[in-house]
Amino acid sequence: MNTFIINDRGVSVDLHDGKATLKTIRQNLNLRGIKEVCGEGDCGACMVLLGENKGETLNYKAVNSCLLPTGELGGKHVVTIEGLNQERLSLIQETFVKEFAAQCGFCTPGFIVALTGFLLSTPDLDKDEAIQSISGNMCRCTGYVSIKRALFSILEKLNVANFKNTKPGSSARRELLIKENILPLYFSDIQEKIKNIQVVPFASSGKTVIAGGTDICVQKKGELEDTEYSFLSQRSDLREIKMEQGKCFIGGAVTFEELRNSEALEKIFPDGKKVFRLIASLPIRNRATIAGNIVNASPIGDMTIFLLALDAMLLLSDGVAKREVKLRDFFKGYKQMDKKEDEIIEWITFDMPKEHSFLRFEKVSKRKYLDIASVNTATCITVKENTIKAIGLSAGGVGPFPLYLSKTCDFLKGKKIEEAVIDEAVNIADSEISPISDTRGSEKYKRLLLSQLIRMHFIKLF
Amino acid sequence: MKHVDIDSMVRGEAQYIDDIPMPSNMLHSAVFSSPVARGKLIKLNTEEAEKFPGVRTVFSAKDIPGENQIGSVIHDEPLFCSEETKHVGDPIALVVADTAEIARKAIKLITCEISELPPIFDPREAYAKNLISGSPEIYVMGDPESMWKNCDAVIEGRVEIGGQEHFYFETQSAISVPTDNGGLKIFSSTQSTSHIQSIASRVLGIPMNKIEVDVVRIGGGFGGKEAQAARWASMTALAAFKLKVPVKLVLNRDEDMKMSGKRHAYSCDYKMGLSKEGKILAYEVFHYQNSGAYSDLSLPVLHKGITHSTSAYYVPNIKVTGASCLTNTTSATAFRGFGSPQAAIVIETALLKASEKLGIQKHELQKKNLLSEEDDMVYGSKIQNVLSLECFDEAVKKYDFPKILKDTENWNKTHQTEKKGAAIFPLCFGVSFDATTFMDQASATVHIYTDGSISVSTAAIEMGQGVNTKIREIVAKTLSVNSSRVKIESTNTTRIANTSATAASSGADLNGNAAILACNNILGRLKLFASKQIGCKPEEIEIQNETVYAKEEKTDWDWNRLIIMTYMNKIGLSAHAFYATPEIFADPKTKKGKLYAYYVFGAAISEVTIDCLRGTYDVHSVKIIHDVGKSLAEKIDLGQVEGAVVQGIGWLTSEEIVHSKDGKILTGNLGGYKLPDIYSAPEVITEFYTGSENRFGPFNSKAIGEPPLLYSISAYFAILNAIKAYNPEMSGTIDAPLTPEKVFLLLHDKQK
Repeated sequence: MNTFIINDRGVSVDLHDGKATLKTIRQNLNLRGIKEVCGEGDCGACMVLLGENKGETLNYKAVNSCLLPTGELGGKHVVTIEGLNQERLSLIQETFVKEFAAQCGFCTPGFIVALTGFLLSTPDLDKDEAIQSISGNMCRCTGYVSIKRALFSILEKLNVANFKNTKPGSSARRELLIKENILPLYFSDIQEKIKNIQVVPFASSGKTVIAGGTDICVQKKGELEDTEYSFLSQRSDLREIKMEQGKCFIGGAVTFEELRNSEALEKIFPDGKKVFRLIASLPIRNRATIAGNIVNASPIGDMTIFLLALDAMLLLSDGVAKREVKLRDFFKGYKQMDKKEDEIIEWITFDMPKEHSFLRFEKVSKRKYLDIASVNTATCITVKENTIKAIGLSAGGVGPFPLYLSKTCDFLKGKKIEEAVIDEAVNIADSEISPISDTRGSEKYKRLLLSQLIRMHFIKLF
Repeated sequence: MKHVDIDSMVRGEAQYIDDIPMPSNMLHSAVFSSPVARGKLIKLNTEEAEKFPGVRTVFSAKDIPGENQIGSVIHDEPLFCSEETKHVGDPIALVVADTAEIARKAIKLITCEISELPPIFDPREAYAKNLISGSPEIYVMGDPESMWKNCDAVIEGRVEIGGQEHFYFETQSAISVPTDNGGLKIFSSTQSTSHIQSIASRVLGIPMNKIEVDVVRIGGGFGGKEAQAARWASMTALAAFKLKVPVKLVLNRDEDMKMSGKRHAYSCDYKMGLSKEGKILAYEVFHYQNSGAYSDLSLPVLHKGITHSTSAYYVPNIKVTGASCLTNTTSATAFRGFGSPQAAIVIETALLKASEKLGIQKHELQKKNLLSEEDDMVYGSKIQNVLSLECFDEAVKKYDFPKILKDTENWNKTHQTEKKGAAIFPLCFGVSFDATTFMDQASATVHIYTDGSISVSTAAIEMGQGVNTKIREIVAKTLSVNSSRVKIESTNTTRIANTSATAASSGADLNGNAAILACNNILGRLKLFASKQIGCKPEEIEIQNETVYAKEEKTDWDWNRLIIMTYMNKIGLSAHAFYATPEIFADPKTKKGKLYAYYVFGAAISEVTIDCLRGTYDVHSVKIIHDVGKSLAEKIDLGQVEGAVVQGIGWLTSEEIVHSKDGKILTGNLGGYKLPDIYSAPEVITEFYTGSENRFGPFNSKAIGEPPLLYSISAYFAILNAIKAYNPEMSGTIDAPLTPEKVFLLLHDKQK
């Protein structure tokens, strides 16, 4: 039995843990407001809010319910479009109506849910972050123009100070949103309701480990109920980012978005918060984990490429024995890893870049945002007196797994930054890669593109 | 003005096929389709699937009581393949089961012995092997052949234009429910109720009156549900008819993208001759249309492309040839623009090349050649009420195009790695069903109930384009009542028969005009009755804002009183009316006719920046002057322009359909197929051209659905201009879509 709150009522369902929440909601709970459009987390039409109690706060995240296993719902608050409806239209709904920001209407509930999620979780009313919050929602009819009009009109109607004065997750924020006609009244005592749910401690017994599930649920589409799972989100000990003695530790259950908003990222990569917008969409980043990105072993994994540049180390555990592997040694071939079946990544760790160091991440894809890279690359360089003291350089999409360009790094170390050196580095990098032609681009394109992107890393140093 | 049902959409209460509550005995289904691009079907093995727990049965060609045939124009398309499969995803069987999940699992247990045949994917190869639908269409005006020698510049070239996935958000879906008279009620996500009715009747071998088709709204169509919804509806009809229980089929996205048709890809050869002043003297173009596996609507699409080959320009000597080439991919079908956007890209490409050769700026060439009043069109009409130059000049002036060009040039002089580009595109789009003029008809039924509320039925399908809101406005305006009194009913074959598809941008025109006729019919009766009660002539009665005026004096008769008293006096308050677009005709023998009732004009300017090092680009803005006549609903028309532009930009930039060598779609869901997202969508500024009249449109309005899609062509050429600013030597083929890869290679590939 899985007990949670759906909108304003508690429910217990006896369903397979792997069943997609989208199907649970539409088929078993008979709420048909959210829609299946792509079934792969790429469109946002099935968006729900997932509320989770954390001490005093109740944090809401927008997630794609097609990629959310029902087993993850226990003890949480699930909000669908129906759960945002009141007798009158909410401010968001009313503004969409006024701007005609819906045409066929199929994507509309997802946008309303996502924007409500934004107002629940934003520290202020930053316009760019507001757009970011609906960047995982596709619309085929409006061209987004009327949706943007609606969004800006909503932001204009709200008072920034009120938002700054109420912390995301606090009851004060929820009260504010009730007052602003964004949330229905029942959100007033929802936290109490959640606290009163008896959550059956989860027996993490299944063979298949789900961390964020944003990849496995796509791969196993249609077969999710054929396997038994254990959920890494139950390991609250692995959900933190620590900085200790010049090292950074990222827990195996930390999500992209948690890293993006972390103090650690701010410290090592001040542009990171902005640059990481290029990686997935907000609802995916809210679920996808860093460790999951690594064990997915996609040749193009964005986070893996980022961590390779930092020459990160993985701490693996099978529940009993623990061991360490360098990320650059972790991959053995296409989707082949130095990982036993029952091992998980518990921690990812790297040395915090020191003075005179900086990080860069480059990604080019068919569509700039919410797309899989054609080629990506990252670097962490330490430069003193125009000389490269240390460097990590990685490249994705150009080999069977994410590559650490060690020969290029060896060459660059100790060299002066000048055009001839970079030219030679680009040549060495080209000899280290073996791209193939596929839907992300031809071999020729990928080779040329990587050479350009490597140059981009150094362009500001000249 | 209020939208008819947007309130239910923002609340998630608007129902689509998969949301309709159905009885618990309803069964679900899934489609087994060909794994290979082309082959002879030898044996279909469904036993294992039939044994799978929860499976009721598996249907295939042998179970069809009527004809195994769903072709619309040419009867070349079976519901289920029985002899030959013609593309990967060509349907072979339908599994019916307790749940859709079970049906999908059972599909994997079906095997099929197929003797593979060599597939063809290149339309030119198909043409060479004479694998075409019908015969090549040739339209000639003047004598291009003898003109070439008189031209100061002759250019020629080839253009490849990719297809496009509709990606309507609601996938193809239908439910059929048996009725107690041995018939069926079908709920379908379709743009044409009568098409579903007639195809299902053909497949089942029962008369059309036994089949009722009902549509409340659909979650997007864009042409993809004009002909192609019939297949899925017919499958459920077959299953429900045989099993005597309701059966539902909702394709998931992967299935939809694998099995359903897309926009036609084109491969075209062009030749253009001009005077040194830049006047086009002759133009020749050959359209190799990639029709995919079946004919579907390819011939009408081809025809519209042929008639729009000169786009917004006058060409005195022209020869257009088009061939609909049969290949082994999904059957291409109608898609917003219907062949005209591809044709426009070809002539714009020719003009770009001509401008380089003549050393005349492209926008000057464009302007010199714009259509004028009474110019001859290749199909024998003289174009009328032309606004080409007016819209072009208005756009140039309003958005200060000379300054845009100057700023672009200045930017490019001072920036090495970031280049800007700008381009203008003039629009001329003919409205009507082209050569299939029989489709230019519609009917409407209007009931006024005794409480004064009004019910309106037409053939129009609401798919997000706002046609229901427009028809409500039309009815409210005609009867001069508050629009809140007017309800637009579902589109249903028992109320409105023999419907044309809601297509060709004509939904509001045809159905709106029919609704006006029906309203006027009742209005006549109301006025006659009121005149007798008040004591004046019927023509002295006016109804304004729900009040009866006699000889321009307000009376104490309001709408409610008028209606109830009309009823009490035993006068009918219902009317059915029929409308057919006047004046248009097509003669297939002479290839002459008045194919279009009227034309939509406009002009758009796009501005882009490309990051020359990475090959990525941003389309910043598309600034438009658009002729919509007198808008029936400005916010709806605005939304149509904006949505169409962005959809078109998607087609020409990131939306690339890629197949494997053996014909499997590799861009079969959003992971690989990239729709525009909120970041890639540009700012769209739209001004409606004022001063345009249109006697064919309800209240002087003009059609809006398709034409603005062509404005995206300005963005395509703006990107090319920006590439040229970086690499003036660029000589590679400039094929659509301009993906970042193509842009990158055009920028950096020196060998090409």
